[in-house]
Amino acid sequence: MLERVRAVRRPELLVGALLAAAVALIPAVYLVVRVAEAGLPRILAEVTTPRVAAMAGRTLALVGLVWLGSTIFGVTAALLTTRTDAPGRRVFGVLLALPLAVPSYVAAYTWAAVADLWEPSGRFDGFWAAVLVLTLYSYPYVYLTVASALAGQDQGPAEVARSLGEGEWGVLRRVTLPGVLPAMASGGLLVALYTLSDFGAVSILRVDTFTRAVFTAFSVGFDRTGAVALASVLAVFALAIIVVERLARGAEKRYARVGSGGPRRPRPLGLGWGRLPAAAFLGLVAAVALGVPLASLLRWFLAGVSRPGSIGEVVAAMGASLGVSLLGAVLTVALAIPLGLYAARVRTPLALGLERLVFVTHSLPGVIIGLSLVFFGINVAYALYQSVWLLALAYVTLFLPLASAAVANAARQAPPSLEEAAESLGLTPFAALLRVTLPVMLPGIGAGAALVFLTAMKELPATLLLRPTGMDTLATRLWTYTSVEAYAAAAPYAAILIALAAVPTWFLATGSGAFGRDDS
Amino acid sequence: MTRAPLPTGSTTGSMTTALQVRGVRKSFPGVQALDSVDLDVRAGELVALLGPSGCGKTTLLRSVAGFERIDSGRIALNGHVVALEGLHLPTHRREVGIVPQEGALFPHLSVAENVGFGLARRSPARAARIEEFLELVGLAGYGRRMPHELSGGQQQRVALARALAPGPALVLLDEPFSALDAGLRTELRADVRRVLHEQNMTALLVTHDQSEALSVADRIAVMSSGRVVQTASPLELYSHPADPWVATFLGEAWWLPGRVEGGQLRTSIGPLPVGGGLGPRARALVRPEQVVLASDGTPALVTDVAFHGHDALLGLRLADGTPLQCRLAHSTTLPREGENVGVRVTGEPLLVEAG
Repeated sequence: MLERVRAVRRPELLVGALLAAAVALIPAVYLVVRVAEAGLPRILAEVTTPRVAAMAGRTLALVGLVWLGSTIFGVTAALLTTRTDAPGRRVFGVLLALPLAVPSYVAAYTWAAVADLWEPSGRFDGFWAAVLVLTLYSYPYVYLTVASALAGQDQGPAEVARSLGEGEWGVLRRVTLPGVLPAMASGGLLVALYTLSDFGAVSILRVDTFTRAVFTAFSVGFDRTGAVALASVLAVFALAIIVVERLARGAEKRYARVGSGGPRRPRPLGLGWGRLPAAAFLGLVAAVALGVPLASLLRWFLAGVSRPGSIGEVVAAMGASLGVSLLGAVLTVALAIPLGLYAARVRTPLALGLERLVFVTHSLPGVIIGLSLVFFGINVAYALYQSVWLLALAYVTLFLPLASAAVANAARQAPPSLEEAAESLGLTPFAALLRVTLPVMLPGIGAGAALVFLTAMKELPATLLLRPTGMDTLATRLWTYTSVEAYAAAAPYAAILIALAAVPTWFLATGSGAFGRDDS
Repeated sequence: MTRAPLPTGSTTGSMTTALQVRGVRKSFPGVQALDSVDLDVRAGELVALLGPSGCGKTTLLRSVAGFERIDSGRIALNGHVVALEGLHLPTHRREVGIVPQEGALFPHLSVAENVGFGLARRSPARAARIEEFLELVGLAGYGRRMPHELSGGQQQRVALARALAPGPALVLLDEPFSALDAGLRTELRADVRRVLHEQNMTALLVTHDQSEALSVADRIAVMSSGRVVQTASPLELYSHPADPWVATFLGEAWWLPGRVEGGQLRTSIGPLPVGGGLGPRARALVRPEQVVLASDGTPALVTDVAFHGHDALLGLRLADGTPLQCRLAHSTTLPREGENVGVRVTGEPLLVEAG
């Protein structure tokens, strides 16, 4: 039988991809619906107050300072570990990436829990505490992207500059650093986005930023319109950062290298008398960022686990975290498979548009996603309200791009020629997908699922807002205990969360190519 | 069986034509990839589709396989129409075997499972057939290996066995040797030719490599700008190309101008036999191997010597300035650059045109 020519070659993928994007867009769309219902005049009345103006100033100052600090730390550390003869650079290279394994609210807890050792009042909170904690635990985003860019940088231009009479510092200033500017920009914008989205650290450190205010307005003040108004301002800030990030990534193309020959590794820059101060700087950053959480856990962990009933409580929270994260990961990956495959195989404007749209909702702060889904549950999908399904839906929205990027990468392992070969051997296109493409992609899809699972375990704001009454996860327990300064009780949760986050961080730090074994 | 029978009815052409392509057109945005292509492949024949990159040969192969939908024209396999304007038999019902450029073995399946992929899963003859085809391609006993444990040449052998095992109507080979290094390529070419002939298999081989097409194929279809320019046996094509483009695409050739007198073209290097219907002046195209050194021949200046081991190519300039090349079979002495030699032309010219 001859079939009619179809306009779309992979209709089943398109339908799946559209479904995935629609599900991921529910919170963003519903937020817009709520804003429209409240009416612009009311929203404007809510946000044009001196209190909101001060909060906006504080939030932007925090974002700006953390961005600046992370860029300085990150770029310096990347240069010292990849381009100089600083002693111990290989070890520091991996150690300096590890702060990424400490979620910001866990970091805030560990600092607050040992503050009495150096601060007579025993308090560690406020604006500058938040700047310090967020910088120390988000500079790795800059550090890893810049180190990886430096490692991949072609040495041709640097060698030409040297032949034209530039010295080591001239080459660094005029060739090397301009070359990694795009990496610096995209790492820095990631830091800005995460700082803006951060809820856990600022609420533990008692800094009034938008995320904390949205949460407080809703769950303490029961002020729904106020919460929506603040959330929409926060969303506008986040979108502005995403737009800047997009523009910076567009600029990255100008630095693209022609050809794919393996880049030569540069001769390390001799620091001379500066070797020891350089090592001391690297050591100090690593020691402070990793030492404080370690000291804190050592101090409180035993007291925490020996509290009566603590083991049972930890096991229950662990079970809840595992269950809901697993559900979220399965749902996310199921939706990511058609989306990622479609994006990898069909390079149409529609496919690119879907990919970007999903990335935008991923970039919205978790507290917005949580708030929007609470309203959605109450007003539209009451059957889901107070169930783990709504929480799993939040995880889908937040983490779909992680999974779809993993699927798209895996799809590159299964080129279309495999499906064509299978079809020529008598399989229908759908059977070829099931018997050839998916089995080949399985390891990559598994890695994506694991990443979503581990990231969902650490998620705090959406989990706090959407968990069914009575359910506590590792993250919510830590947050609750820390907010009443029960540091011992919080310690076991902090330890487990750091251990979970260490797994993907380890792969990121050792797999980035920046610290390979062959750079003698 | 995973494969449904081919449709009956709409039978065209004689049964000895395994593949018939008529007036096939296919365009992509901004490119006319196939511009009214005609091609016939007879049963049991190995035809090479030869052309420079971008000539449309891969698009034609993909249209025959069913990976591309044609805009107009007709494709028939063993007398059954598989593609017409607006109608398209999907690949899995066409019974065509594919050997892709990089083999495209299923990386998650063993060699035996790859070869058996197109065979019915519960067939009792399955294991025997897998072993038979592995032996045919010289890989008996390799069934349990995984694709990544094989060399590039071995992978292509498995890809060939996999394509042949279900007994397809036609095998399509898409530059299957291009990823291999030179020595292996020659060996595999000969083996593929032997296997296809032993199985009496009809095959279409896409290649941009002239020597590959000339050495492997029973017939060659030369493509240029989306059209088949000439279809002929390798010998015929090489010595009687349809036009100067085909002549120079297949190998070096040089123009000799002259006057037409009594069935002969009088050139500065001597007379050449030509047909009638030409004006007073004409020019003839000759290959370097038709030019031989002769002490009593026309004097020529050696402008360039390129030694290739098995032969050497001399660049020459005749007294009137005409450039020419001469291919010398292996000899112990070679003329030097700047030396004067005597040359003669043997045989018939490839082409003669007025002007």
